[in-house]
Amino acid sequence: MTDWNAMDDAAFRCEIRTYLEAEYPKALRHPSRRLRWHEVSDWYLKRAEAGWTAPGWPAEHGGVGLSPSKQLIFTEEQERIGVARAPDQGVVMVGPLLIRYGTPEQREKYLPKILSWDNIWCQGYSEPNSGSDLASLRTQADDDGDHWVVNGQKTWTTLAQDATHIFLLARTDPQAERKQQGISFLLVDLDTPGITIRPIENIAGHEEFCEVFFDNVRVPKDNLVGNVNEGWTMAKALLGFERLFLGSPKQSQNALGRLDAFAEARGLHDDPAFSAEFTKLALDVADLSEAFESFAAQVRGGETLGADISWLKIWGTETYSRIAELAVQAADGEAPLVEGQAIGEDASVDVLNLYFGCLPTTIYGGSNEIQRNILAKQVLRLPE
Amino acid sequence: MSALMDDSQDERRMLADSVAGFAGEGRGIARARRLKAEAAGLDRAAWSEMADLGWLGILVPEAAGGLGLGVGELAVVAEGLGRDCAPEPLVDTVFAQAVLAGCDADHAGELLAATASGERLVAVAWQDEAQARGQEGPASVPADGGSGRLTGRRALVTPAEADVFVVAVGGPDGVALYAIERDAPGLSVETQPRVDGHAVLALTFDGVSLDDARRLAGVGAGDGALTRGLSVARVAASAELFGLAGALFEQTQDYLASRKQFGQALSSFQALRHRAVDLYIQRELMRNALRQAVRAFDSDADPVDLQRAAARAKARCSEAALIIGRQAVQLHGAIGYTEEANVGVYLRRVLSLAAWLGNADAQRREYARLTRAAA
Repeated sequence: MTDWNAMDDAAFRCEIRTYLEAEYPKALRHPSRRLRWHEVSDWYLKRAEAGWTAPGWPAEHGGVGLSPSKQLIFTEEQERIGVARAPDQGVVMVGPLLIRYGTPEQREKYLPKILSWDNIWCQGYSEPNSGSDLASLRTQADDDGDHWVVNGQKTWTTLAQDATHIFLLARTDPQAERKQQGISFLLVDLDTPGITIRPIENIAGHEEFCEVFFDNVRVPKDNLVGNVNEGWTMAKALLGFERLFLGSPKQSQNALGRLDAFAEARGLHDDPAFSAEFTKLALDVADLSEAFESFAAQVRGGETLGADISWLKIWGTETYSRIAELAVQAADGEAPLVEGQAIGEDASVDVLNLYFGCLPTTIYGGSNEIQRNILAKQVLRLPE
Repeated sequence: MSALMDDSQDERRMLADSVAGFAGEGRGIARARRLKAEAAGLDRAAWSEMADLGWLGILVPEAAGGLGLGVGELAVVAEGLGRDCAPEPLVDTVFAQAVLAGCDADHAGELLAATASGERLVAVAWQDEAQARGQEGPASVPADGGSGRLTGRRALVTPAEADVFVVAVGGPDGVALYAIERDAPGLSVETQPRVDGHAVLALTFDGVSLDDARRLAGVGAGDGALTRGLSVARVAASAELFGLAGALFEQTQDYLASRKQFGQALSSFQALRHRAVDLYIQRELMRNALRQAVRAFDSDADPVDLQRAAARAKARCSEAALIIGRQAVQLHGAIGYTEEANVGVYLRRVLSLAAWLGNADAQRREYARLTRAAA
């Protein structure tokens, strides 16, 4: 078997790039919305057959065992070509969780089915009254001998309608002193009686996330991960280098490229006012990319990312937003047209797509206001 | 401390330590206050101390008595002086040196050596008033009409104590450079005070002879020298702005943590915590913009790439330093509006450097122009 980690970075990048360029379907590149499982399953099942579902997992658990630096290259190359994301919570969250905290039986039961995509996982974190203040969650799991009985509601559950399983944070000790205590990690089969999934239509008209209701759902005790009441600690420990990609410059670069194409077609670069704003944004993106590379270099060097990574998420998503906002202004009266704006014979841009695309980015992954709280406390160490 | 070093760069780390030692406890800001209050001009003692430390020759080849180091090392020193609010015209001098280094005449080298030792001060007079207002590139400096004599004006010339001017004289094919002594017949010099306590000069040339003895570089070499000088100086100014803004930010951070109102630290108020984070982000952006510019020089990129990298750094650093300086005053409250508070002294220096050689808007126009031309 190829020892990918022994390969030099440039050669590895070249290998991945060549493979993706040749094999990844053109129609699925840079999709304008989150694609559903049936739209991307051909690609991911093919990768599963080749053993490439989980590049970052250790080889002993069925992953490729790539080093952080090679994983980063792999992810960068996927972003570069615009590979559509799978419903990948099993790979990204459940696998690493079980590898670190699970029992041998849990690993044996779940890991192979994550790798084969027989099980598709979704994440049960947010609740209607617990968004940014996640630790206030109220979904409850009561001890009933050999089962937990779960009642409550999760929301913003991405692609729950395509999932077979959900991993959730539930309150197992309502009397705990601090709200972060008394939370546990449970693995739940979505076929269990008492679960209702209701898709939520988003502002752009797509159904990317759902509400999930739990009504006396009986979950076997074997499905508890790690120790009871330690779910919060585990959830935090799982925040890995994925945090880097919340601040990826790709969305901004892509949006700037679309705006540039529009401006070129409509002669806007000759307008000094537009040009000044556009250049400012171009430099915002350039400095974002420089910062991203600098954090990426930390990951490559095997360092753990510090809390300062939060500023990259703020700057990346707010830069993306400013570009989308300028695109809406630049499109002027045509901005609200749902079929986009023509920029030639058979080309168009879609400023609404940019605009609706930017809106969730400053909310998800910890809203930008929460990121500012984190920076103020953990980086600037400002007394409260 | 610095944006500009990794662990392998011992030279830069030693320089940073040396600047921190020179700065000591607020020596720079004390000189900045004295400069403003007494309009005393350049502090010659501090200047010769800087010469002894080698900083005035940081870019100057060892053969000419300098340290022969690069823009990365220069940026470390400029950042350190900025942190201390030191008012000495290092970046102005570096501008002249980087221009002189690209000149082919013998006396350019002699002049370069004299600036490195601190013996002479040289200023670049590269733009007339219209250009200073529009920040056009050097290529359109007006022609002398082929008369062999220069008539016209040059604006915003620094340092004000210069004994020699490197004057850009435009022609249809580009710019030539001449060294003209301050006391040259036909040259009159006016001074205009600048907000940081320095003065800038307006030069009026009335038929000043452009003879061969004065020529530093002909058309071609002159353009290259001036372009490179501007790029180097813009990065140096960016680094000083980074140091100024870093100190302003940290002073504000400390103030928010220690000042109490309503029985609690200012930093307990979320609106102020979030604003502090936004200023922190501005400073991190400066660090990144500066790093890419230093890297461009370290890797000896081609002149257009250096121009673009320098414009990008200067645009970011000018804008962010002004944002941080403005908010530093606001977050200090009324005391921030007084002469007693340090933030005002820093802000006056930021205002001066942000405008020098093209402010953020001008640098973005330059960046856009160079980017379009390259496409």
